[in-house]
Amino acid sequence: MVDVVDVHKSFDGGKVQALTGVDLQVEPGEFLAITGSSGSGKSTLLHLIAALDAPDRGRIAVDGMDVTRLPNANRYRRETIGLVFQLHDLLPHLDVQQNVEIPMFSTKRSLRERRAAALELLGAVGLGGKEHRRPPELSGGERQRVAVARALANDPRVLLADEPTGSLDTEAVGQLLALFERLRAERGLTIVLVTHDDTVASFADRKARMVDGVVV
Amino acid sequence: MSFLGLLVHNLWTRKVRTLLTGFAVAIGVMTVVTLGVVTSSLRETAASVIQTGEADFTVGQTGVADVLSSVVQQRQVEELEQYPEVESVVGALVVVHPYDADNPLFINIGIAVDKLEEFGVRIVRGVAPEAGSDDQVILGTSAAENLGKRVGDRVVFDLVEYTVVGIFQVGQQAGDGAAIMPLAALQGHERTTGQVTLAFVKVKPGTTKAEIGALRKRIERDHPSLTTIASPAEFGRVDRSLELLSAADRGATIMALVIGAIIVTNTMLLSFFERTREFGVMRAVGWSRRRVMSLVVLEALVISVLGAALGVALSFVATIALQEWSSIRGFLDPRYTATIFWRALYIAVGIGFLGAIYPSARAALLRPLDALRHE
Repeated sequence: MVDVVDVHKSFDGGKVQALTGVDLQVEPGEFLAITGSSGSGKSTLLHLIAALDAPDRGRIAVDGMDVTRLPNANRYRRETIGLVFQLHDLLPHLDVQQNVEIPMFSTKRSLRERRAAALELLGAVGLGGKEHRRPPELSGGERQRVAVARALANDPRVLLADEPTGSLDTEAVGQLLALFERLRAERGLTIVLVTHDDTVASFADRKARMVDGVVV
Repeated sequence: MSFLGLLVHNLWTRKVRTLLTGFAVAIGVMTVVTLGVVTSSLRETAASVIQTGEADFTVGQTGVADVLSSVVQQRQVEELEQYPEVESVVGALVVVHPYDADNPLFINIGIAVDKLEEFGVRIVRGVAPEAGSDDQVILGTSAAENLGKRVGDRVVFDLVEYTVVGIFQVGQQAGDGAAIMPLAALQGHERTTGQVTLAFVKVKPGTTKAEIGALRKRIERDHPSLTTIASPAEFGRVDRSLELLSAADRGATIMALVIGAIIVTNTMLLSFFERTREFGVMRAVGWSRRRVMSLVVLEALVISVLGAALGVALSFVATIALQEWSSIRGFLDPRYTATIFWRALYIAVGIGFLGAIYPSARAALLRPLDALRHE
């Protein structure tokens, strides 16, 4: 499902080498945790897989698509992958349902279909009945679950999560990871999760450890 | 939630800023619309004046800044009557005097009594003044109402007392707000014997437009001190003040556009800086640059259109206030035509669009990663 081949990435005109010859494969339906300390390049790798940035050289393919040569990166991010960020990044002036609908704008779904899909997703993440609450009215764990629902808005094949448990308490972490597992089982999702926390990484099927821009 | 719903929601969430920006746009639109209504009204008044008595064209003095300063010699009026295409010429002396505090600019018109009907004057009450009288006057219907005078009353213009012998109508605002007395009487009182202000020319039936055009050229060639005008667009040939007002109107429109666009740009930029992460999230979850740009541009357009609607409403109030201003009462007959509303709309769209270009481009060109790192 995800195929990373000999990827290199540097910043600041080559002065900072973030990734050096990274090779990584993720099978369909697999839950992979990428671990490493701060600055190891794990988030950079996730951003490249998400087409939020481009590698200096190398190849990245997701579900058969060459991510480095996408004709429409927006469509890729909208339909093929779902993104969950550490800080959930919900829009505070919209309610929970409206936040989940945000990725659906450029699809062909009608207003009714979008509403129904959003409610279904909120139910799937355990937030049924809270669709009209605003993010500030939710706990950290609930907000992150809304972010997961938003990431699944267009039924992606791959879920990319960048330190999703970074700002959650222990109980919320457990709930979120259980949610990932359930969604993977129900929807056949491939999950790539970046974390510096080995406990969180232990929930995954497999771990890939990064040190100084290299998968060890 | 629809895209429009999201747009409205975004504006409602920041309602104070939306209202303040809309109000600023409203002030600009109000100024432009009011000036446009006043200019258009004055232009229409001017048009009705030059077409009084169904004249085919009017003759005035060349190169004057104000039509009331025009001087046409009576012998020139008689010469105009000699052109074979001309059926009749009515010379009119027009002077403006203060009447009282409520009527600081009252129009007095001197016309030969036997030319009243040709001039389009219809006596609706009383009689016309006697030829040769120097103390009889007829008042237009609006003038009689404004001055509170009826047939038989006395009225004083420029220290000269007259008896109101009749009430007339000519069917145009400026004329119906004036007083008419025998030409010789007014010339005597004004010490302008042998002079009129304008000559109203009617051509013989069957004269074509081309022949009228040729006649006007001949008149201007034979009498270089005279200028002919046949339409409101040509009024500037005998009155520069209306042209100045039109230029001020155009200038005000440009200023309103520029200032309005700057205000909207400022608001949208502030909004952009506050919403950088929001735009980053939208791009990260698959929004295209075009969609982000559309959101920003449409938000600006909605603010501007709402501001324009308020501006037109304020313009109604401003125009009513202006009509109470006695200096121009009688000259101002504001009409809110479709053109006025279209003008307000295109100014609003111009302001919104120009104001949104830069902020929307910045929002669209934002790299999602950079936006997500924004504090």
